[in-house]
Amino acid sequence: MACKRPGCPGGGIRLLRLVLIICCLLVGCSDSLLDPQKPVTLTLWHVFGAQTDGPMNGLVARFNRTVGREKGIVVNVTAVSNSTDIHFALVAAAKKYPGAGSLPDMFITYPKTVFAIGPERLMNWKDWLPEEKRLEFISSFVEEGTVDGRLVLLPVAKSLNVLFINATIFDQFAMESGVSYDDLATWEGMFAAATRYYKWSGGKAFFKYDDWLHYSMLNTVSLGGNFFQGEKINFRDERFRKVWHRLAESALSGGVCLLGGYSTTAMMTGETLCGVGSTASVLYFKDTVTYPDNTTIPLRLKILPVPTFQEGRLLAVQRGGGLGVIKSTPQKEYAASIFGRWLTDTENNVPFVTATGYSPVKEDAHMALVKEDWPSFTSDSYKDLYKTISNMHMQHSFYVPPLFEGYGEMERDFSELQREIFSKYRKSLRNDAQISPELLHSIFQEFEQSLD
Amino acid sequence: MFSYIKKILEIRNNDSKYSINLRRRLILYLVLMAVGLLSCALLLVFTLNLSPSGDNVAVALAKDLSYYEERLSAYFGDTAARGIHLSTLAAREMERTLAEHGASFDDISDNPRLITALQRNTFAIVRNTLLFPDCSGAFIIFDATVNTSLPGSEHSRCGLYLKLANITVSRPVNPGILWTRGTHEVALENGLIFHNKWELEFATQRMPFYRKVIESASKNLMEGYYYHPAMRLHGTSEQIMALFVPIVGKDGRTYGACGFEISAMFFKLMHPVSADPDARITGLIARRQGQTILSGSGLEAGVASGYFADLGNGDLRTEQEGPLTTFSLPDGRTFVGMYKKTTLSPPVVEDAGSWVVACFIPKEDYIIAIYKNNAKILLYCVAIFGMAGVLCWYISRKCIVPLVSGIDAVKAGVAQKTNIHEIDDLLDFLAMNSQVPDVSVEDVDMSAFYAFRRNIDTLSKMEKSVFDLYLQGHSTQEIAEELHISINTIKFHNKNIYRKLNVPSRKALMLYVQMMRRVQG
Repeated sequence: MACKRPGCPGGGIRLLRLVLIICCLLVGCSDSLLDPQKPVTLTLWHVFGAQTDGPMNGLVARFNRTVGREKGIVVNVTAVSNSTDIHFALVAAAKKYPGAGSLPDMFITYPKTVFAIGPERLMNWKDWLPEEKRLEFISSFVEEGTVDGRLVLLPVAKSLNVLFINATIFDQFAMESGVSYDDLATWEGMFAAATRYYKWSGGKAFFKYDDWLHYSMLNTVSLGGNFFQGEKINFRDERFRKVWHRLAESALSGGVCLLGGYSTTAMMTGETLCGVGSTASVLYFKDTVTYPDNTTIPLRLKILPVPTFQEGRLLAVQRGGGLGVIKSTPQKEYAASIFGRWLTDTENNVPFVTATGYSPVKEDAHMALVKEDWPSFTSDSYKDLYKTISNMHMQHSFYVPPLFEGYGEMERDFSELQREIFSKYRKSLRNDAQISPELLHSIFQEFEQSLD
Repeated sequence: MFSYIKKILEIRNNDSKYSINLRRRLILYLVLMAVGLLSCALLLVFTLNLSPSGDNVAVALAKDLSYYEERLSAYFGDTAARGIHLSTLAAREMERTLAEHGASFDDISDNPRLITALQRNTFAIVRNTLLFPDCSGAFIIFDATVNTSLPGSEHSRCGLYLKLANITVSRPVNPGILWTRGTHEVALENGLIFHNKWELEFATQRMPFYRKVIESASKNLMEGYYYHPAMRLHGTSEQIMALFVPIVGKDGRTYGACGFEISAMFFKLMHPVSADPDARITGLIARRQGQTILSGSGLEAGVASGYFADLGNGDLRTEQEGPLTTFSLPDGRTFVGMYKKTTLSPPVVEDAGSWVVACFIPKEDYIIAIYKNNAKILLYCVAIFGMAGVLCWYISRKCIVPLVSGIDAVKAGVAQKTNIHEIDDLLDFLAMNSQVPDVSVEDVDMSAFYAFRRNIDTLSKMEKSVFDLYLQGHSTQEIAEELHISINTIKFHNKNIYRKLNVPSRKALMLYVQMMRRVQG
């Protein structure tokens, strides 16, 4: 389908680009575009292992030392951040907001960012990746990165949301309270466990969700509801109202951790026992919980699928960014395509994704992972993680959220406002206060209005 | 010079009256050619910046290095000044907080409430330093710990450490900040996100300079700060350098240290060595040990548009080659450039003089630059040689061709003026000789001879001198030497003598001279 967006290049320009690319391909796949004596530099912003000793920078260094040096490409990592911050940084750079820097040549991001900065600004991977190569990728991942028939995000690594549990404390809590891991398969079980844990721990929250929009969205859809109405949240949906009321009740009773940031830090400071977050969070866990008096206890992780409501079907959202490339000269685009192909080659992709808690993006590697056909992981957390990922791939359906320009902002605002409103009412209520359906209804309305 | 050339050209255009002799003409053309070629050479040297081998590269690198060292020196100096200011504010705030709690510094350890209060009250001071960030993080370390009963507590120090959440080329006002060290409570009060590798306290055994700062602290902060060589921030892939300034109380007691973090990413983005997108130049600040620059001890930057050498932690072996230095990495990569000493810490600080700033390019770029330079020189030499050829052709056309034409004209019996004095003279001579038949004494018209004798009195003094010397039998050359005048002047006088004495030719003149000798004899 032809791109109708403003700013999208016209037929003449497209034809010229096509001719250029064909010419490049005709001369021995255009290696003449690159000169090892005068390497082309590509800047890269990525999200793998922000603030940690993540393997992505090492992978880039390896590329520069090997293929990069041979072909004449230098990849320069100029920002490592998280998916939220990188989204807003890219949007600011694309829209030339005051104080924003210039766009990098390549970046890892989610499709929501593509819509915010304009897909027409991105290189079409189909121009540089032959069809037989594209067929090696999992088709749903390719579809996710395709806009108006153009592949603008090359899948690099995919993640799922999973439930991380501090097993060191949970085992003790389970023994004394009778709660089991099986109870954590449903939200009903989670909320019940949260109530018990609050009392058992002397007033601590049981769990935290990294992205509260996902909780409402997935559970509404899982129960058969329609979470979105066009580009708006459907506050009239009864299923949404139900899942939100259940969460609000638990939050106002102290069962939900209402701190900002990621669940990993809340778990590592002993603020909460469980957290729902990306499989990639496994990289950020330390092996201890540190308390305010600087004493520590070991942090042993148990990783389970995200709970669902009893009547709901097993549904998960697949996440993980793709590699986008800003349209540029044929030389830079070709160089970026070499990097993208190298990064997704199974021999490079698999060690990288499995070190960072992601899933590989090619069919063969993915099937091998699902069949547990991998050398054993040295860490128990990683073993547990990949066992859970494997089970989820076999048992869960995958939901793809709708994509529109304001999705990123809506996702951020939803989490922030919900956390603020829960915190406000949590502070104003006594611990033993009754939470009536009328109160929940009123808070829900307040939430709807503030989000609007 | 120009008026002389103009005069010559005017003369040249004024037909034969002022014809130029061949020697002068040749000298003039050769001088003009030499001036032309010299001008071209000078033009190339000064405008195209041509010089042999790698001199150009050396000059360019020297400029880059000088500018970069000045910039870095100013940056690290300013950062140190800001660190000293931070230390002063922190000391004041700590003393105020301790007084408020009726406590002394010795009461801090094992007192979570007091530690939290200190962190709470100093938080704003640290955070404000990051509002308009000139560094990637800021910290205050109190020389105390929350729990002295823990093993290794002597290396655990409380305090607070804030880092920028995102480092990109932009410098946003009010940037996102991560809580990297410090108590949960203060972080939550201020709504800060925890760093993924947050820890409650600082592990000082990973920061050897911390202890140095504490032990050597004096009230004179200007001489007590240290720049810690680059180190890996625990649990992360981040390489950072850090400024440590002691925090000293009014009574001289050292309360701890504070300072700033400069991460490798921040340095790379904020201090590119060049903005030229085509340049592949690396700037490095690191410590030097003998002939080795410890690149892992410092920070490196590339070009603003993206080029980055990524030296890693490899030591750079240096070798001086003329004005340039060769830098070799263990992985086989070689660079060519320069380095110079710089000062980071005060001179009294140990190792203060071991820091250097270096600028270098890959050796292959250097070789290409030399090839290009030499090729350019060769090309212009060929151009100058070609121009010399053209000028030679022109000179020969102007000097030799008229000569040949004149000879051909003589051969053909046609006398044509050539504007070349020697040839015109020859042609005149031949013409006169051809017009006047040979004369013998017997054939001389005596009345003409008498007229000749009478007219001798009409000659000027100089003409008479020339005439007398002819009479004495001197040749033209001998007369010129005798009278210290040129041949051309003699010729000029000859013409006048011929005209005044009414002699048609030199031959006739010599005949009359012979007759006069006889008469006088």
